[in-house]
Amino acid sequence: MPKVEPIINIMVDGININATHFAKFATVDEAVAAFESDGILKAHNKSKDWAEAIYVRCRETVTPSETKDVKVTKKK
Amino acid sequence: MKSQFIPYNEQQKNWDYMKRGFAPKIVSRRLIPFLAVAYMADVLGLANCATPDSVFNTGVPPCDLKKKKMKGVIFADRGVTFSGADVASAAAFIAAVKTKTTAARGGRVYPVWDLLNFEDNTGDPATGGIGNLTTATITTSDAVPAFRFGYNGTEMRHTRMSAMASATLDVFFVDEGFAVYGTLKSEGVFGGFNVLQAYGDVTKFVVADAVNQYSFRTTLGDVTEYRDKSTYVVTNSGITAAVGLVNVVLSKLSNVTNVYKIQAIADGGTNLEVLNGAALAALTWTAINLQTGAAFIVTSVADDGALDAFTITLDNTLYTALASGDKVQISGPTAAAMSAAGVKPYEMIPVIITKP
Repeated sequence: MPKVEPIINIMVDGININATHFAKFATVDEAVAAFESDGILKAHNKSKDWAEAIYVRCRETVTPSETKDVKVTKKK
Repeated sequence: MKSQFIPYNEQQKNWDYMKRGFAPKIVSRRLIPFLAVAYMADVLGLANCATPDSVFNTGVPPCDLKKKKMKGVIFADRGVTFSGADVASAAAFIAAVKTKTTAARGGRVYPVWDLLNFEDNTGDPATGGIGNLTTATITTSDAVPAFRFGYNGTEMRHTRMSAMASATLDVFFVDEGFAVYGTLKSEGVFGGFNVLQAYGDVTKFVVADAVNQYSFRTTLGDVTEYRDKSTYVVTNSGITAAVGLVNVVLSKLSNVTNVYKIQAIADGGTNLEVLNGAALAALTWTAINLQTGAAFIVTSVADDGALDAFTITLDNTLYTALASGDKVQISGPTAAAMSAAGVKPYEMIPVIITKP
């Protein structure tokens, strides 16, 4: 068995989100794109705004010491 | 050795030392004849039969244990042991056993409580003659402890139980007084008896009776463990709450690219999603790229009540990189995680999906 990185999950609207995975994205756009390409938004009928909020929660949960002044870089 | 005249008080001093178990302080020419002989025996390497290196005795201990009828069997992965802290009390031991029922394989125990029949198939020790000048015979090799257990089995369960034949196991025995019998592996370490062979018999149709309709056999590998190093922990009926796990086979229901619908159906047909969907969806599911052995990211899990399944999304970037025919193994939560969440006693068997 390969060494598995400890995974932190968060439950949002009944969906178990791999916070460890999504917290690694550097920008909210990248994270939202991942939510979309993974099929999570379609499978659960969720919006990109929802994905944005979840991304912030993931960052806060996984790296709370780094998210006190989270600057979510968003392309206009 | 010439006897030496030694003043009476010196003789008395040496005798006092001997009685108290100390070696005489005075050596060589100052020894009284008796001590001199003993000292010479040590120096020349001769057997000193006065040295108590045997534990043989025949007295009746003021408190001891007598085996009762067989109550249960606790198989264990080879090498599973209990420490001094684990056996400090019945409660501590029972807790340790319960914990080990959901441990990862390699450190797990597998209790069986519903025994119906017990047969001790340990034969007689082998004997042989010791010479052509006498008809006396002695025991030349020990009988190997071997047992057969009939239990309240069922078809699917016995199929799983029969996999014991390919497992490397130790075993503990539990009697009706809830004494757990094992062996002293080392100072303060309690372990199971080494199993030479564990074997599930074929199941039987009921004829005149149903004795041993479902049964398994155990042959121990080390008679010394069983006879000379046997020890026990006295517990209570609470130990029967430590139960073995039921296999839950994960299966693919359907998929749309990287989004898979996975069902979790226990042996016998019970779909775990129906009663435990929310709890199971909240636990950690994992996956492995079987081509590389690397972890494959599961990005989300959700309970799909409509399909009685779980929606597992695999990382689409990794999934897209797979070639057609590549395989990914999806694993559900661990037995320990499920037990902690109140979903017990189960172990999920992974499902292997193949990218179309």
